[in-house]
Amino acid sequence: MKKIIISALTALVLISCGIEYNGEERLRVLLKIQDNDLNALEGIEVQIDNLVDSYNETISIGHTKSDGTLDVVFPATESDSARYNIEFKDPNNLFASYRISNIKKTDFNNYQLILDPQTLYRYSDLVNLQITRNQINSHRYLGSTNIIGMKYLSDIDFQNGTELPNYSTNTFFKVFKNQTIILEYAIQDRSTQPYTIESFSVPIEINEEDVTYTIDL
Amino acid sequence: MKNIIKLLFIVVFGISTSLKAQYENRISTSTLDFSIEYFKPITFGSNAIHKAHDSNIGMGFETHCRVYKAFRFGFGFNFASYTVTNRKLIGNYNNTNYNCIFLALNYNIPLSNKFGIVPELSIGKSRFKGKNGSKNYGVQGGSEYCIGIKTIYNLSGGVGVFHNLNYVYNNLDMKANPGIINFYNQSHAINFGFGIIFF
Repeated sequence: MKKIIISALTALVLISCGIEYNGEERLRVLLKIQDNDLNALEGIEVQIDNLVDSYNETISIGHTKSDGTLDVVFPATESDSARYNIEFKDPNNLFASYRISNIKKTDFNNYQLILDPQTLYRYSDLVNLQITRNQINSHRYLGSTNIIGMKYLSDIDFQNGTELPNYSTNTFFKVFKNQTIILEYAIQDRSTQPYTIESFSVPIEINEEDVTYTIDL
Repeated sequence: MKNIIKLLFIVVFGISTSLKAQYENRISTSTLDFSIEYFKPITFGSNAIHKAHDSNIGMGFETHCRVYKAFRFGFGFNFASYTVTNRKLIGNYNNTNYNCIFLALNYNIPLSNKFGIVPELSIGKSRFKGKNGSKNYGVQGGSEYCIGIKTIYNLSGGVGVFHNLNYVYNNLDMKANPGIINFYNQSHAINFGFGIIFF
């Protein structure tokens, strides 16, 4: 009997958790997806997630039509603090996916959001730039890194158009082929008080292959 | 003796005819009825319920009492589930569950000893709830207006079966972009129903 009551209470708690929706308010997103030659892309999967507090749920999924457009409608969240993310994924894996994050309910004009045409780039146009550490001195640490050049942005903040940081932002970049990029980085030396920071700027040649650049610490 | 037999025959025949008449007219004369119905909504029109859902078999309960001559007034409850077929138009969930509680006024017209037809008007409060298992995706409320006709066949002893044909219109509460709001704030359906009635 005790187990049944505990199970029932647990189920009740689980049911009552999560994002609450307003069935009498519908949001609409209109968008178009194209490649970098402005050709419409058909069949691209578009997934819309909403985030409220620590909860994250997929509220809409659709695929673009032959003209690259998609028109989706879904129930709004009860909470006005909700954030929406829209992710673009190619089921055939020819184009690199990316995401627009941090869209607010207030960004919808009259319950509708019309996005500018979104461009997907082929994986064949991109290579990976991996930064690795060669730890020579235990008191030296890699600080911030940045690249100047044509970088592929995989998670864009809707509010300001910049890339949102993630766990690998510091050491992994997707960049376009056939360019010279500038890698800027800082090394922190913790053997002294206060710590000293040295800044570096190095050119890296990007051709057709993935590049691994090693920083001696 | 012959006269007595004749008299007895007339009395017995008269009583039985009278009882039969009462029984056969029960469709229109009973003071209270209760019915259970299964129905299939056939949706139509340019609206989200029709364009983005498949309807499943629904169920309803209804009870009336005679208020004036053959007029009856009552209330009922209907529920049904719709399977979402186009998530682009609805959202990422599986079902829209419908229910409605309504008031109804009907008029009973006996056509023969066994058959009767019952035109009915009803008005109610409806709710459409998005569901994915136990997870809710919001409730859309509204007003339901229904006009229909029942054909009742009286089996025996206050039990009948019926066929029901209703036009059902829902006017739903909705906030959405003006370009699409009419797609989400209404629904139309013809409900075909079969059921059993006790009266």
